[in-house]
Amino acid sequence: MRGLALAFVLAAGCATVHPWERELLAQPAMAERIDPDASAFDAHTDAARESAIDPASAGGGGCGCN
Amino acid sequence: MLLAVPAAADDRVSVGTSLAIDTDGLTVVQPAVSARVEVVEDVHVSGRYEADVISAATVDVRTSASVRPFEETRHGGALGLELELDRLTTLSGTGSFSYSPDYASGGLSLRLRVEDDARRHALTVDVGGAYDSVGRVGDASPTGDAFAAATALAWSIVLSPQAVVDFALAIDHRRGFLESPYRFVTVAGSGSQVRLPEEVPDERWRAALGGGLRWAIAEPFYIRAGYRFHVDDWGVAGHTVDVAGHLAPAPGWLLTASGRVLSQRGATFYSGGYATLPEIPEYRTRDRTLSPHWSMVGALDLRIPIETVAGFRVSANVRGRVVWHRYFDTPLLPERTTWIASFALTAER
Repeated sequence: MRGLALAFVLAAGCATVHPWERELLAQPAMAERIDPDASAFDAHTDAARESAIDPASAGGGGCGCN
Repeated sequence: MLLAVPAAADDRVSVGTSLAIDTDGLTVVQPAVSARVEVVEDVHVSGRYEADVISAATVDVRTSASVRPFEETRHGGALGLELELDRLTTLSGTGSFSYSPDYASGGLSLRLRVEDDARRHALTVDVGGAYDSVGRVGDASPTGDAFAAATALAWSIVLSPQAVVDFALAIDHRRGFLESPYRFVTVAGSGSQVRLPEEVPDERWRAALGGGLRWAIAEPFYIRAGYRFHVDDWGVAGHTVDVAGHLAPAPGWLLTASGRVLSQRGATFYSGGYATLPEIPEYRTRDRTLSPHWSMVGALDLRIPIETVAGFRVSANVRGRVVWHRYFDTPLLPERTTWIASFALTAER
Protein backbone atom coordinates (compact mmCIF):
# COMPACT_ATOMS: atom_id res chain seq x y z
CA MET A 1 0.00 0.00 0.00
CA ARG A 2 2.86 2.37 0.81
CA GLY A 3 4.40 1.54 -2.54
CA LEU A 4 1.21 2.44 -4.38
CA ALA A 5 0.94 5.71 -2.48
CA LEU A 6 4.54 6.50 -3.35
CA ALA A 7 3.79 5.75 -6.99
CA PHE A 8 0.87 8.19 -7.07
CA VAL A 9 2.91 10.89 -5.33
CA LEU A 10 5.66 10.42 -7.87
CA ALA A 11 3.20 10.60 -10.73
CA ALA A 12 1.48 13.71 -9.45
CA GLY A 13 4.62 15.57 -8.49
CA CYS A 14 6.54 15.16 -11.75
CA ALA A 15 7.44 18.42 -13.39
CA THR A 16 6.71 18.85 -17.07
CA VAL A 17 9.72 17.93 -19.20
CA HIS A 18 9.76 19.90 -22.42
CA PRO A 19 10.91 18.32 -25.69
CA TRP A 20 14.04 20.44 -25.75
CA GLU A 21 14.97 19.08 -22.29
CA ARG A 22 14.93 15.40 -23.28
CA GLU A 23 18.40 15.03 -24.80
CA LEU A 24 19.76 12.95 -21.90
CA LEU A 25 16.61 10.82 -21.75
CA ALA A 26 17.10 9.90 -25.40
CA GLN A 27 20.59 8.54 -24.91
CA PRO A 28 21.11 4.76 -25.39
CA ALA A 29 22.18 4.37 -21.75
CA MET A 30 18.70 5.54 -20.66
CA ALA A 31 16.77 2.98 -22.72
CA GLU A 32 14.43 0.58 -20.89
CA ARG A 33 16.46 -2.32 -22.30
CA ILE A 34 19.79 -1.20 -23.70
CA ASP A 35 20.36 -4.49 -25.53
CA PRO A 36 17.15 -6.52 -26.01
CA ASP A 37 19.06 -9.59 -27.24
CA ALA A 38 21.33 -9.57 -24.20
CA SER A 39 18.35 -9.06 -21.89
CA ALA A 40 16.57 -12.03 -23.46
CA PHE A 41 19.68 -14.19 -23.08
CA ASP A 42 20.12 -13.21 -19.42
CA ALA A 43 16.47 -14.01 -18.72
CA HIS A 44 16.90 -17.39 -20.44
CA THR A 45 19.99 -18.37 -18.46
CA ASP A 46 18.60 -17.05 -15.16
CA ALA A 47 15.29 -18.91 -15.60
CA ALA A 48 17.19 -22.21 -15.75
CA ARG A 49 18.79 -21.51 -12.38
CA GLU A 50 16.19 -19.54 -10.41
CA SER A 51 12.50 -19.63 -9.55
CA ALA A 52 11.81 -15.93 -10.12
CA ILE A 53 9.94 -14.49 -13.06
CA ASP A 54 10.69 -11.26 -14.87
CA PRO A 55 8.15 -8.68 -13.65
CA ALA A 56 8.40 -6.74 -16.88
CA SER A 57 7.27 -9.44 -19.30
CA ALA A 58 4.78 -12.22 -19.75
CA GLY A 59 7.12 -14.91 -20.97
CA GLY A 60 6.37 -17.87 -23.11
CA GLY A 61 7.05 -21.48 -22.27
CA GLY A 62 10.12 -23.02 -20.75
CA CYS A 63 13.24 -24.40 -22.34
CA GLY A 64 13.45 -27.69 -20.46
CA CYS A 65 16.87 -26.61 -19.26
CA ASN A 66 18.07 -28.73 -16.37
CA MET B 1 14.95 14.13 -29.60
CA LEU B 2 11.34 14.34 -28.54
CA LEU B 3 10.84 11.00 -26.84
CA ALA B 4 10.47 10.35 -23.13
CA VAL B 5 11.87 6.88 -23.59
CA PRO B 6 14.35 6.14 -26.37
CA ALA B 7 12.57 4.45 -29.26
CA ALA B 8 13.86 1.23 -30.73
CA ALA B 9 15.78 1.61 -33.97
CA ASP B 10 13.50 1.34 -37.01
CA ASP B 11 15.55 -1.53 -38.45
CA ARG B 12 17.93 -3.73 -36.51
CA VAL B 13 19.88 -6.90 -37.27
CA SER B 14 22.06 -8.70 -34.79
CA VAL B 15 24.22 -11.81 -35.09
CA GLY B 16 26.15 -13.21 -32.19
CA THR B 17 27.13 -16.11 -30.03
CA SER B 18 27.57 -16.84 -26.35
CA LEU B 19 29.59 -19.43 -24.49
CA ALA B 20 28.58 -20.52 -20.98
CA ILE B 21 30.64 -22.88 -18.85
CA ASP B 22 29.73 -23.84 -15.33
CA THR B 23 31.03 -25.90 -12.45
CA ASP B 24 28.26 -28.48 -12.95
CA GLY B 25 30.17 -29.69 -15.99
CA LEU B 26 27.81 -27.98 -18.42
CA THR B 27 28.95 -26.15 -21.53
CA VAL B 28 26.46 -24.28 -23.70
CA VAL B 29 27.21 -22.50 -26.95
CA GLN B 30 24.35 -20.29 -28.09
CA PRO B 31 24.49 -18.80 -31.56
CA ALA B 32 21.67 -16.34 -32.17
CA VAL B 33 20.41 -14.11 -34.93
CA SER B 34 17.65 -11.52 -34.67
CA ALA B 35 16.15 -8.88 -36.91
CA ARG B 36 13.50 -6.15 -36.72
CA VAL B 37 12.48 -4.54 -39.99
CA GLU B 38 9.92 -1.90 -40.96
CA VAL B 39 8.04 -3.55 -43.84
CA VAL B 40 5.62 -0.69 -44.48
CA GLU B 41 5.07 2.58 -42.65
CA ASP B 42 4.31 1.95 -38.96
CA VAL B 43 4.51 -1.84 -39.32
CA HIS B 44 7.52 -3.80 -38.10
CA VAL B 45 8.25 -7.51 -38.38
CA SER B 46 10.75 -9.16 -36.08
CA GLY B 47 12.32 -12.57 -35.84
CA ARG B 48 14.80 -14.36 -33.69
CA TYR B 49 16.48 -17.76 -33.88
CA GLU B 50 18.79 -19.23 -31.26
CA ALA B 51 20.26 -22.62 -30.53
CA ASP B 52 21.62 -24.02 -27.27
CA VAL B 53 24.32 -26.53 -28.13
CA ILE B 54 24.68 -28.34 -24.84
CA SER B 55 27.47 -30.71 -23.93
CA ALA B 56 28.32 -32.65 -20.77
CA ALA B 57 25.48 -33.19 -18.34
CA THR B 58 23.87 -31.34 -15.48
CA VAL B 59 23.92 -33.07 -12.12
CA ASP B 60 20.24 -33.99 -12.42
CA VAL B 61 20.64 -35.82 -15.69
CA ARG B 62 23.96 -37.31 -14.72
CA THR B 63 22.76 -38.92 -11.51
CA SER B 64 19.54 -40.36 -12.88
CA ALA B 65 20.89 -41.69 -16.15
CA SER B 66 24.07 -43.54 -17.00
CA VAL B 67 27.16 -41.50 -16.24
CA ARG B 68 28.48 -40.48 -19.59
CA PRO B 69 28.84 -37.22 -21.50
CA PHE B 70 25.99 -36.20 -23.73
CA GLU B 71 25.30 -33.60 -26.31
CA GLU B 72 22.00 -32.02 -27.15
CA THR B 73 20.81 -29.06 -29.16
CA ARG B 74 17.81 -26.91 -28.32
CA HIS B 75 16.35 -24.79 -31.07
CA GLY B 76 14.32 -21.73 -30.22
CA GLY B 77 12.93 -18.69 -31.87
CA ALA B 78 10.19 -16.14 -32.21
CA LEU B 79 8.31 -14.18 -34.84
CA GLY B 80 6.67 -10.87 -34.08
CA LEU B 81 4.49 -8.21 -35.65
CA GLU B 82 4.35 -4.64 -34.35
CA LEU B 83 1.80 -2.02 -35.33
CA GLU B 84 2.08 1.67 -34.50
CA LEU B 85 -1.60 2.52 -34.15
CA ASP B 86 -0.75 6.17 -33.65
CA ARG B 87 2.30 8.12 -32.44
CA LEU B 88 1.54 7.16 -28.81
CA THR B 89 0.21 3.61 -29.12
CA THR B 90 1.89 0.40 -30.23
CA LEU B 91 0.33 -3.06 -30.46
CA SER B 92 2.53 -6.10 -30.99
CA GLY B 93 2.20 -9.87 -31.03
CA THR B 94 4.86 -12.55 -30.75
CA GLY B 95 4.83 -16.28 -31.36
CA SER B 96 7.68 -18.28 -29.85
CA PHE B 97 8.88 -21.85 -29.92
CA SER B 98 11.52 -24.01 -28.27
CA TYR B 99 12.42 -27.57 -29.23
CA SER B 100 14.89 -30.16 -27.98
CA PRO B 101 14.68 -33.97 -28.16
CA ASP B 102 13.01 -34.10 -24.72
CA TYR B 103 11.13 -30.80 -24.58
CA ALA B 104 8.89 -28.79 -26.89
CA SER B 105 7.25 -25.47 -26.12
CA GLY B 106 5.12 -23.00 -28.02
CA GLY B 107 3.78 -19.66 -26.89
CA LEU B 108 1.88 -16.56 -27.97
CA SER B 109 1.93 -13.12 -26.40
CA LEU B 110 0.40 -9.73 -27.03
CA ARG B 111 1.72 -6.36 -25.91
CA LEU B 112 0.04 -2.96 -25.82
CA ARG B 113 2.12 0.13 -25.08
CA VAL B 114 0.53 3.53 -24.55
CA GLU B 115 2.13 6.89 -23.78
CA ASP B 116 0.43 10.10 -22.74
CA ASP B 117 0.54 13.16 -24.96
CA ALA B 118 3.22 14.83 -22.84
CA ARG B 119 5.38 11.66 -23.14
CA ARG B 120 5.71 11.58 -19.36
CA HIS B 121 3.99 8.26 -18.71
CA ALA B 122 4.32 4.99 -20.60
CA LEU B 123 2.15 2.00 -19.78
CA THR B 124 2.80 -1.48 -21.16
CA VAL B 125 0.50 -4.46 -20.78
CA ASP B 126 1.55 -7.99 -21.76
CA VAL B 127 -0.55 -11.14 -21.87
CA GLY B 128 0.73 -14.50 -22.98
CA GLY B 129 0.22 -18.23 -22.92
CA ALA B 130 2.34 -21.28 -23.63
CA TYR B 131 2.11 -25.05 -23.99
CA ASP B 132 4.96 -27.35 -23.00
CA SER B 133 5.45 -31.02 -23.83
CA VAL B 134 7.92 -32.72 -21.48
CA GLY B 135 9.62 -36.06 -21.96
CA ARG B 136 12.85 -38.02 -21.74
CA VAL B 137 15.34 -38.59 -24.51
CA GLY B 138 14.71 -41.98 -26.05
CA ASP B 139 11.14 -42.39 -24.79
CA ALA B 140 8.52 -43.16 -27.42
CA SER B 141 6.07 -40.55 -26.13
CA PRO B 142 6.12 -37.48 -23.88
CA THR B 143 5.87 -37.92 -20.12
CA GLY B 144 3.43 -35.07 -19.65
CA ASP B 145 2.44 -31.59 -20.68
CA ALA B 146 1.88 -28.22 -19.04
CA PHE B 147 0.07 -24.99 -19.75
CA ALA B 148 1.16 -21.52 -18.75
CA ALA B 149 -0.57 -18.15 -18.77
CA ALA B 150 1.00 -14.87 -17.75
CA THR B 151 0.29 -11.18 -17.64
CA ALA B 152 2.54 -8.23 -16.90
CA LEU B 153 2.04 -4.54 -16.35
CA ALA B 154 4.84 -1.99 -16.60
CA TRP B 155 4.66 1.75 -15.93
CA SER B 156 7.45 4.22 -16.65
CA ILE B 157 7.36 7.80 -15.42
CA VAL B 158 9.66 10.60 -16.49
CA LEU B 159 10.52 12.42 -13.28
CA SER B 160 12.83 15.05 -14.70
CA PRO B 161 15.09 15.71 -17.69
CA GLN B 162 17.52 13.26 -16.09
CA ALA B 163 15.50 10.56 -14.39
CA VAL B 164 12.93 7.89 -15.17
CA VAL B 165 11.30 5.56 -12.65
CA ASP B 166 9.86 2.18 -13.61
CA PHE B 167 7.33 -0.08 -11.91
CA ALA B 168 6.42 -3.58 -13.03
CA LEU B 169 4.09 -6.37 -11.92
CA ALA B 170 3.86 -9.86 -13.41
CA ILE B 171 1.65 -12.82 -12.57
CA ASP B 172 2.26 -16.29 -13.97
CA HIS B 173 0.15 -19.44 -13.69
CA ARG B 174 1.28 -22.93 -14.66
CA ARG B 175 -0.54 -26.22 -14.44
CA GLY B 176 0.11 -29.74 -15.60
CA PHE B 177 3.27 -31.81 -15.48
CA LEU B 178 5.66 -29.48 -13.68
CA GLU B 179 8.26 -32.07 -12.61
CA SER B 180 11.45 -33.08 -14.35
CA PRO B 181 11.21 -36.68 -15.65
CA TYR B 182 14.95 -37.00 -15.07
CA ARG B 183 14.88 -36.20 -11.36
CA PHE B 184 14.49 -38.93 -8.75
CA VAL B 185 14.37 -38.39 -5.02
CA THR B 186 15.70 -40.74 -2.35
CA VAL B 187 13.37 -41.17 0.61
CA ALA B 188 14.95 -42.87 3.61
CA GLY B 189 13.92 -43.96 7.04
CA SER B 190 13.38 -47.02 9.21
CA GLY B 191 16.69 -48.44 8.03
CA SER B 192 15.80 -48.48 4.36
CA GLN B 193 15.45 -46.15 1.41
CA VAL B 194 13.59 -45.94 -1.86
CA ARG B 195 14.16 -43.90 -5.00
CA LEU B 196 11.03 -42.25 -6.32
CA PRO B 197 10.21 -39.91 -9.19
CA GLU B 198 10.10 -36.24 -8.31
CA GLU B 199 6.61 -35.04 -7.38
CA VAL B 200 5.51 -31.40 -7.16
CA PRO B 201 2.04 -29.80 -7.16
CA ASP B 202 0.20 -29.75 -10.49
CA GLU B 203 -0.40 -26.03 -10.28
CA ARG B 204 1.73 -23.02 -9.50
CA TRP B 205 0.97 -19.31 -9.17
CA ARG B 206 3.92 -16.92 -9.27
CA ALA B 207 4.08 -13.15 -8.97
CA ALA B 208 6.81 -10.53 -9.12
CA LEU B 209 6.74 -6.85 -8.27
CA GLY B 210 9.63 -4.62 -9.22
CA GLY B 211 10.76 -1.05 -9.44
CA GLY B 212 13.75 0.78 -10.78
CA LEU B 213 15.34 4.13 -11.39
CA ARG B 214 17.28 5.26 -14.44
CA TRP B 215 19.34 8.38 -13.82
CA ALA B 216 21.54 10.45 -16.10
CA ILE B 217 23.93 11.86 -13.52
CA ALA B 218 25.75 14.05 -16.01
CA GLU B 219 26.87 13.13 -19.48
CA PRO B 220 28.67 10.70 -19.97
CA PHE B 221 27.71 8.98 -16.68
CA TYR B 222 24.46 7.13 -16.15
CA ILE B 223 23.29 4.76 -13.44
CA ARG B 224 20.31 2.52 -12.85
CA ALA B 225 19.13 0.54 -9.86
CA GLY B 226 16.28 -1.88 -9.40
CA TYR B 227 14.56 -4.10 -6.89
CA ARG B 228 12.30 -7.10 -7.42
CA PHE B 229 10.26 -9.18 -5.00
CA HIS B 230 9.02 -12.57 -6.22
CA VAL B 231 6.70 -15.01 -4.51
CA ASP B 232 4.64 -18.09 -5.33
CA ASP B 233 2.13 -20.44 -3.74
CA TRP B 234 4.76 -23.14 -3.28
CA GLY B 235 6.35 -21.03 -0.55
CA VAL B 236 9.18 -19.59 -2.62
CA ALA B 237 9.87 -15.91 -1.97
CA GLY B 238 12.87 -13.80 -2.78
CA HIS B 239 14.43 -10.41 -3.20
CA THR B 240 16.63 -9.20 -6.06
CA VAL B 241 18.64 -5.99 -6.15
CA ASP B 242 20.49 -4.88 -9.25
CA VAL B 243 22.65 -1.88 -10.04
CA ALA B 244 24.43 -0.74 -13.17
CA GLY B 245 26.74 2.09 -14.15
CA HIS B 246 27.12 3.27 -17.72
CA LEU B 247 29.85 5.33 -19.33
CA ALA B 248 29.31 6.76 -22.82
CA PRO B 249 32.61 8.49 -23.57
CA ALA B 250 31.92 9.09 -27.28
CA PRO B 251 29.04 8.64 -29.75
CA GLY B 252 28.26 4.96 -30.21
CA TRP B 253 30.46 3.81 -27.31
CA LEU B 254 28.93 2.40 -24.15
CA LEU B 255 30.64 0.67 -21.23
CA THR B 256 28.42 -0.92 -18.60
CA ALA B 257 29.34 -2.49 -15.29
CA SER B 258 26.48 -4.21 -13.51
CA GLY B 259 25.78 -6.41 -10.54
CA ARG B 260 22.86 -8.28 -9.07
CA VAL B 261 22.18 -10.04 -5.77
CA LEU B 262 19.32 -12.46 -5.14
CA SER B 263 18.21 -14.04 -1.88
CA GLN B 264 15.44 -16.64 -1.94
CA ARG B 265 13.45 -18.69 0.56
CA GLY B 266 12.77 -22.22 -0.63
CA ALA B 267 9.54 -24.06 -1.36
CA THR B 268 7.74 -25.41 1.72
CA PHE B 269 8.06 -28.99 0.49
CA TYR B 270 11.71 -28.71 -0.46
CA SER B 271 14.20 -30.71 1.58
CA GLY B 272 17.82 -31.66 1.10
CA GLY B 273 17.01 -35.12 2.44
CA TYR B 274 13.67 -36.84 2.94
CA ALA B 275 13.73 -39.27 5.89
CA THR B 276 10.07 -40.06 6.36
CA LEU B 277 9.79 -43.80 5.59
CA PRO B 278 7.53 -45.65 5.91
CA GLU B 279 5.58 -42.48 5.04
CA ILE B 280 6.04 -41.23 1.49
CA PRO B 281 5.99 -37.41 1.24
CA GLU B 282 3.25 -36.21 -1.10
CA TYR B 283 5.68 -33.69 -2.67
CA ARG B 284 9.40 -34.31 -3.03
CA THR B 285 12.01 -32.63 -5.20
CA ARG B 286 15.73 -32.18 -5.79
CA ASP B 287 15.25 -29.09 -7.94
CA ARG B 288 17.81 -26.63 -6.61
CA THR B 289 15.86 -23.66 -7.97
CA LEU B 290 13.24 -24.48 -5.33
CA SER B 291 15.80 -24.48 -2.51
CA PRO B 292 16.73 -21.54 -0.31
CA HIS B 293 19.59 -19.91 -2.12
CA TRP B 294 21.65 -16.85 -2.86
CA SER B 295 23.08 -15.71 -6.15
CA MET B 296 25.37 -12.93 -7.24
CA VAL B 297 26.02 -11.72 -10.75
CA GLY B 298 28.72 -9.43 -12.07
CA ALA B 299 28.92 -8.32 -15.68
CA LEU B 300 30.84 -6.04 -18.01
CA ASP B 301 29.45 -4.95 -21.37
CA LEU B 302 31.20 -2.93 -24.04
CA ARG B 303 29.60 -1.56 -27.19
CA ILE B 304 32.08 -0.40 -29.83
CA PRO B 305 30.98 1.52 -32.94
CA ILE B 306 32.59 0.17 -36.10
CA GLU B 307 31.28 2.12 -39.03
CA THR B 308 28.16 3.19 -40.87
CA VAL B 309 27.26 1.09 -43.90
CA ALA B 310 24.33 1.98 -46.17
CA GLY B 311 22.77 4.00 -43.37
CA PHE B 312 23.20 1.22 -40.83
CA ARG B 313 25.30 1.94 -37.75
CA VAL B 314 27.36 -1.18 -37.17
CA SER B 315 28.65 -1.91 -33.70
CA ALA B 316 30.27 -4.78 -31.86
CA ASN B 317 29.02 -5.85 -28.46
CA VAL B 318 31.28 -7.78 -26.08
CA ARG B 319 29.98 -9.11 -22.75
CA GLY B 320 31.43 -11.00 -19.84
CA ARG B 321 29.22 -12.28 -17.04
CA VAL B 322 29.86 -14.37 -13.92
CA VAL B 323 26.92 -15.94 -12.07
CA TRP B 324 27.45 -17.56 -8.68
CA HIS B 325 24.74 -19.57 -6.94
CA ARG B 326 24.86 -20.91 -3.39
CA TYR B 327 22.09 -23.41 -2.76
CA PHE B 328 21.36 -24.22 0.88
CA ASP B 329 20.06 -27.54 2.17
CA THR B 330 21.48 -29.11 -0.98
CA PRO B 331 23.97 -31.88 -0.20
CA LEU B 332 24.87 -32.49 -3.84
CA LEU B 333 26.72 -29.63 -5.59
CA PRO B 334 25.58 -26.75 -3.34
CA GLU B 335 27.46 -24.16 -5.36
CA ARG B 336 27.31 -23.39 -9.04
CA THR B 337 29.41 -20.82 -10.86
CA THR B 338 28.79 -19.95 -14.49
CA TRP B 339 31.08 -17.94 -16.72
CA ILE B 340 29.49 -16.45 -19.81
CA ALA B 341 31.20 -14.67 -22.70
CA SER B 342 29.22 -13.15 -25.55
CA PHE B 343 30.00 -11.41 -28.79
CA ALA B 344 27.57 -9.86 -31.25
CA LEU B 345 27.56 -7.63 -34.29
CA THR B 346 24.60 -5.27 -34.55
CA ALA B 347 23.49 -3.07 -37.42
CA GLU B 348 20.70 -0.58 -36.84
CA ARG B 349 19.22 2.56 -38.28
